[in-house]
Amino acid sequence: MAPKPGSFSTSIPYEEKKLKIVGTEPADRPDAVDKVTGRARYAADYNLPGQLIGKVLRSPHAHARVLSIDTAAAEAVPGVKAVVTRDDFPDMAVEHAASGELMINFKDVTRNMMAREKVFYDGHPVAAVAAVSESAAKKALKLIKVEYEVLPHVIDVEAAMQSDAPILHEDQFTKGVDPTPEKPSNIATRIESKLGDIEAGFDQADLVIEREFRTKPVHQGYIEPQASIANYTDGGQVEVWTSTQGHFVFRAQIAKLLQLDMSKITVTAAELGGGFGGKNNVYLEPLAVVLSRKSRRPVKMVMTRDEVFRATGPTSGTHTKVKIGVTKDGRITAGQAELNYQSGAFAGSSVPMAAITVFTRYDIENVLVVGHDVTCNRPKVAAYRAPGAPMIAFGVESVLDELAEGVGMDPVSFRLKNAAREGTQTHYGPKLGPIGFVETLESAQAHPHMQEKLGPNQGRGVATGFWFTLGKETSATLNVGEDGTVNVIMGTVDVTGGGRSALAMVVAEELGIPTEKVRVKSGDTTALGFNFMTAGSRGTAAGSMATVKASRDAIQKACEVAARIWEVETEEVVWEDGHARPASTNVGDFEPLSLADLARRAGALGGTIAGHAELDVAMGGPGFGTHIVDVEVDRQTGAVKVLRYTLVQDAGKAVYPKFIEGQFQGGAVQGIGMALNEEYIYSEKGTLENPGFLDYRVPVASDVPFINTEIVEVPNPMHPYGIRGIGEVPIIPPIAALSNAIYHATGVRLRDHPLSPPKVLAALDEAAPAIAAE
Amino acid sequence: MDALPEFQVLHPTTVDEVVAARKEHPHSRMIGGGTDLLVNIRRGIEAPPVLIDTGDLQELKTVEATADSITVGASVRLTELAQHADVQAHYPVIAEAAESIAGPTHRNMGTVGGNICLDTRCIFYNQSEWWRTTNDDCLKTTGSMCHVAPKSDGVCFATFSGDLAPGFLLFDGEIDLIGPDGRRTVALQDFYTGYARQDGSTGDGKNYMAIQPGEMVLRVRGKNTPGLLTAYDKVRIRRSIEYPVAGCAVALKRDGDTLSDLRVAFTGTNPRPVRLDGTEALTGGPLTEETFTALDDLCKDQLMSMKTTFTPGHYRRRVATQMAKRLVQRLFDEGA
Repeated sequence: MAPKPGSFSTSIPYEEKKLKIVGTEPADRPDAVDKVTGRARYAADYNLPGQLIGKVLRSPHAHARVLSIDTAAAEAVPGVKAVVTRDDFPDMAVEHAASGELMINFKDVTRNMMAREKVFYDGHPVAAVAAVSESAAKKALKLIKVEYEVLPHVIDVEAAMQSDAPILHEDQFTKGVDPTPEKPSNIATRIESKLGDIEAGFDQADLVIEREFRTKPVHQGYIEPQASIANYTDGGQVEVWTSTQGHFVFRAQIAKLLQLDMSKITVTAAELGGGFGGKNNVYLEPLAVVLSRKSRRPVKMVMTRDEVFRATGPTSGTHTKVKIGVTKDGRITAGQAELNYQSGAFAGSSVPMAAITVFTRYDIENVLVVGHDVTCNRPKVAAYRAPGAPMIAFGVESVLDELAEGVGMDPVSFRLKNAAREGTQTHYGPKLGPIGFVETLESAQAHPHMQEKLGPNQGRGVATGFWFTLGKETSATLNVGEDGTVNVIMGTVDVTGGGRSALAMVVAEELGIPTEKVRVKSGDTTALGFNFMTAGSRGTAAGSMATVKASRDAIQKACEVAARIWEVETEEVVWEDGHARPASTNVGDFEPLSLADLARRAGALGGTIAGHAELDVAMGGPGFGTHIVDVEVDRQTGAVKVLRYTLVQDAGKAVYPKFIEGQFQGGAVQGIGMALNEEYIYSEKGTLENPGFLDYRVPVASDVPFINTEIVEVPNPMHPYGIRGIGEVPIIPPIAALSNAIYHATGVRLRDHPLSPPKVLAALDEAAPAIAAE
Repeated sequence: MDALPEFQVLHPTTVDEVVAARKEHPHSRMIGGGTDLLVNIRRGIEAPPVLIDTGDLQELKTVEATADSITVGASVRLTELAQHADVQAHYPVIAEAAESIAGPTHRNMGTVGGNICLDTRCIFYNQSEWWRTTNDDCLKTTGSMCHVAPKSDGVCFATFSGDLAPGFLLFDGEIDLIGPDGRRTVALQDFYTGYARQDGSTGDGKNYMAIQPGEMVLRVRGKNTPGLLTAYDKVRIRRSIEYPVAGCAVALKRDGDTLSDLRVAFTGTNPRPVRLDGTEALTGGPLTEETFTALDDLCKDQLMSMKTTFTPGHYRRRVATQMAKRLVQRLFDEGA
């Protein structure tokens, strides 16, 4: 299930040494000022001479057969230069590829970007128009006549799994079931992960608790809507500037979907206004390219917020069951879980990833995890920061909280007793290497937060999270300028904003020069070898592996230049503290040469100093975190106020600690929002009722307290600096931590997300007679 | 977000110029901060060809608040009202209400006139053009049916959610208007007409203000009563940048152990701000459980629980009532 490193994957073993730059605070963040003053260029800020505006006609139905599309009237609108429908795109056969943390299938990708036989959700593209103005394009959209045969639809995951549910794909038969069923089903795949003997495990338990949980779909909520501008030249060159987490992957997808040579396509990743996994998939790009080809003009397309919510990937709505058994003395003997995850219109939810995380924080000998990937009439889900993990952590960590209470242990000690450590056998495959989970629990237990007194209607909740660090293809190039300053071209997208700083610090550390002398920029797809997208917390972890390698390559060249100046062998030169020095006194008595000295003279001594790396970075460095939250519940309104929040996480090595704190805080805040008030609300007709930030309620500053953070550092043995991915873990525990805190404040357990005021109040009402009876 | 359609913006500097402009452009709309109107224009709910900006009308930018009365010009920004020392001293309910509106940036732009005239809201109305078309345009726009109450037979239940109106209603507020036929003053209680057939009149969520074509709001006023204690509270799902789930303004007077005056008003529940009828009957004695039960009954009678927001209607009515009770208790205790 987990992506496995290939035999040619690169890992550079941990090098224990004193670091001078990594782990400090750089003087500035090179992207920050331009973002604050509005000078940073996001995809929607790009314009080309003669450009047209493209708009998409979307399905008003949750499920319907597309009988016919008549574009004649739209094409006749003055100013309209091109109209495209399913007929303008080649059909694709079944072919799977990785796209971020989820898998895609090109047969589905082409149908998702432009409906073919059927529309599968409200917002599914049916046609696209390019015109000289947005108003002309919108006028044309209204004149496109689409004849639909409306079909019954199904949105909720449990409903979609019923045998009499409306079926989305007549050719979809559940995989992973033996024998393969003869009847089509919305259950695309059943997966299973097993360890030990589950029945025996429950037999050993003194206390077994089994619960059901439900979560609503939530959106990544990035502030920048998807935007693309494409130019298909008469000479057959394709240029695309777009909002993406992985321009190389987008290039590959555009090439595949439009049957073009990759070499003719240049994709540039614009400054990114948030992605969180939601910008791992093409939506507008192929449409803009084809509209440009057809109109022979550049075409710019920008989604409205409505379109972002209706048609770009939210995460799965889920239904989960969790059953865990413990002995009287608090040892977990068995863990069982069923994960039913919506994948939306097409198969491919995060359930395989989520299944990896279910019990991986704990050392449990007997485990059974079953997952179902379920199609339903909603947008195809996309990755969202630790895809799928927060929902199952909600279930597992809630049940653990009940069990801890049941055996009379405090929540942290109970988790410590069962915590995974180096050597723990996971239920999905590998044994864990050195990890920092225990350290996060111990730090949490010792944190001053734990000593804060709680008042009436206040409660404290604890929960934990685990996520892995993706490696994959990563390239970097480093060019030393004639003045000794350094440009680094990275091939990943800086999705967080601090990634460029972190990589600059790594290069500065390697070269022995100040961080300010290093500038890191994302190159377009012609600048480097293939780079996988920034996903799976790999930005800094994998990116720095490539920059370390490229730096060492450049140092080798710098040493060659020094050797030529000194007329000695390259092996007789060493690089120390930013200078080439003779390897020993035997080599000769030479003054050390700085990178600037060497760069100035390199031109005539063999050429510019540069370094390259093209790697398949090995996956490694799992990340663990523990969260503590205090809440106060208003028993009359059901409102939950977050009073205090503390997060402890293992970063392996914090390259840029302030920025890591920011990542921790951002993840926790997204998790708090997900927990409390975010949810997709569908009408009976299957249309999304709250496609906007006013009614899709992400938290604002007034909703969250300061998030205290603590960084634990247990080095990742597969990385020279010990770096682990850190971006995703912080979003995993909040739903569970908040739910546990609400329980400790009120005596009521919530198992139905979101934990919004009306739901909390209803749960308090329901529990009132029982609590009164006690 | 959708692009704005084309429109012309006028910047008159006197009220008379506004009246003339309104006459010349009958389909024009007044714009203060635009925090409500621009969203509706972007959503294609309306497309006024001319916007008349009230930002340069100096005569409408004054706040006068004394122990006896309060007068606030329509162009006063919400931030200024919230931070005005005299308003905070004599009319805390109004300062608190102003401070609670949306977020700081909205309050820096939004005006008192805009909040008093705030458009009513509904999940079937505050949606983009495609959404409304897909869902059979509702009564408040071009449709023939209220989707919240399909059997309403032409009555719109869109909800009023301005935060300032309840406070002014407690002070028997009045509103000064100017239009083609000159100036007039209307009691705030009569200005809001969204009874939605509660009283047999024709006002509803669509026709919620007694404002005539070409008229504009100049000022809103209120009269104080010595010894009145006041406060505002509201329930929001998110703590800012959010319309109220329900808002509640309370004014009361305590003489010894006697509740001698009680006024309660709400927003966010009905197509109009509701000044609760019948609170006088709860005065003249101590504050007891019976007082709260009676208050409960008044709320049940007069507050609606229509599903015009994503927060269930019965929840809104319930928390509105709870807020009223809490505020009454709090102010009564403060009056001891």
